[in-house]
Amino acid sequence: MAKQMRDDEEQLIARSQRGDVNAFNELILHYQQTTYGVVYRMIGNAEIAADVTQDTFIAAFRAIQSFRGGSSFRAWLLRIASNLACDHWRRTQRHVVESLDMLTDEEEPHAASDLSALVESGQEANPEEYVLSQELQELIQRGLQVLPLDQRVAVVLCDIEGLSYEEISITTQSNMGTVRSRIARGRARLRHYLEQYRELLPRNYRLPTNKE
Amino acid sequence: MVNTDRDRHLTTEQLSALLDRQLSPAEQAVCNAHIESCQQCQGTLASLRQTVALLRSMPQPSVPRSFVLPTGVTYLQEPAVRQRETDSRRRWPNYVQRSLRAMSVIAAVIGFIFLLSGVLPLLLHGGGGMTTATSSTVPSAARPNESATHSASTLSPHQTANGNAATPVHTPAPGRTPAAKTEPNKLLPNDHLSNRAPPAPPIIDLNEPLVRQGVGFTLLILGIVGVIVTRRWALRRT
Repeated sequence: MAKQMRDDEEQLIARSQRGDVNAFNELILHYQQTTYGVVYRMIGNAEIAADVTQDTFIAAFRAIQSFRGGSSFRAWLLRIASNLACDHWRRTQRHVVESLDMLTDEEEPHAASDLSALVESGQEANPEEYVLSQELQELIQRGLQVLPLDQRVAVVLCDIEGLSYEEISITTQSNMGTVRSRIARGRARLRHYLEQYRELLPRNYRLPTNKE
Repeated sequence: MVNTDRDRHLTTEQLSALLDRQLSPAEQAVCNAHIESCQQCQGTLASLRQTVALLRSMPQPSVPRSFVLPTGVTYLQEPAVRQRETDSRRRWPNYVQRSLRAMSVIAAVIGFIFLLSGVLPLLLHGGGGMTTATSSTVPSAARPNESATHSASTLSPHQTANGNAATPVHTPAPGRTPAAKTEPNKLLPNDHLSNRAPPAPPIIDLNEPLVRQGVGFTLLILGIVGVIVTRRWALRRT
C-alpha cells in the first residue's frame, strides 16, 4: 500500500519534471493540507498563509527538476514552504509584532474571566490529548509566533506536523544535533510562555512550580 | 561517574529528546535513573510533555482554497543543472579573479625588483660612460659593454634576452661595438670605453642582471596586464 503510493508519487514527480502541470496538481492535492498547515502555524494569518502556500507550489513546480528522487518529497516541499514563510515573516516582522502586542493587551482581561469554558473535555479519557478551546488555540498560536524562526520551524514540523527528526533535519538542512536542540529550546520557551497564562491551560496541565 | 551523572539535573534538551525517544539507550538509562529520584526533573519533564501534548492537540487549519495550478498558463521550469552552473559560475570567477589579481600584483612586484636589480648595478658602474643619446637605451647599451668586459663565455644570453642587443651590432656607435664582437676576451684591451666604464665588482655575475632584466620586464608587463584584465572583469560584474 505504502509502496504503491510511493511509486505513484515518483511517477507524478517524474511527469512534473517533464513539465506536466496536471501531474503536479495531483501532488498539490496530496500535500496542500500539510504545506498550508506548516505555513499557517508559522505565520498565524490565514490569508497570508494561503498566499505563501500558493507561492510555495509555484516555486516548487519551477524548481522541481532540482528535486532528486529517492529523498523525501514532503521534506523538499516543506523546505520551500518554510523558507518562504520565514522570508515573509522577516519582511513583515515589525508590523506583526506590533499587532501582536495590541492583541495581547486587548484580550488579557476578557481571557481570564471564563477560564473554565476553555478546556472542554477529553482529559479523563486521555490526559495527553486535549480538546482545545478557540482561545487556547490562539494562545498557543501566539506562543509559536514568539519563538525564533529556527525553533518555530522545528517545533511546528515536529509537534504539529509530526515529522521525524530525520525528516526535519532534511527540511531545515541542519544536522540532527541542531534539530534536537532547536526542538528542545522551542518547547521550553513555549512552556515558559504558556506558564504566564496558566489560567487558560487545562486543569491537569502540570507546571514545575506547582509540584511539591 | 555514575553517581555524578545521576545527581546532575537533566538538561531541557535531554528531557525533550527523552520524550521523543531520541536518546541513545545508554543515555536514556542514565536519564531515567536520575528522573526516578529527582522531583524537579520529573516536574520539568511532565510540563514539557504537556506542552507537546497541547501542540499535538492543535487542530489542522482547514485549507481555505485549492492550490492547484491553472493548466492554461506556462510555467518556466528551472533546469537543475543550469541552476547549479550559474551558482558555480558566480562563485568560481570570484575565487579565480582574486587569486589572478594577487598573482598579477606579485608578478609585477617581482618583475619590478628584477628589473631594478638588473638595471641598478649597470647604472652605478656602467651608466656614466654611455654615449648613446636616449636614457632608455642606456641600460641595454651598458649591458653589452660590461658583459663584454667581464664575462667570457656567456655573451649569447644578453643577445637573446634583449632584442636591443642585436640591433646595435651594425651601428657605428662606439658604446655598442664591443657587444657586436664575438670574441669578448679580446674586447677589453680594444675597447676604448672600458677606461671610462670602471669594471663592476667581480662578485656580481654580469649575465645575471641581463636575464633578470628580461624576466623582470616580462613579469612586470604580465602583472600589469593581469591587474588591468581582472579589474575590468570586476567592473563588468558590478
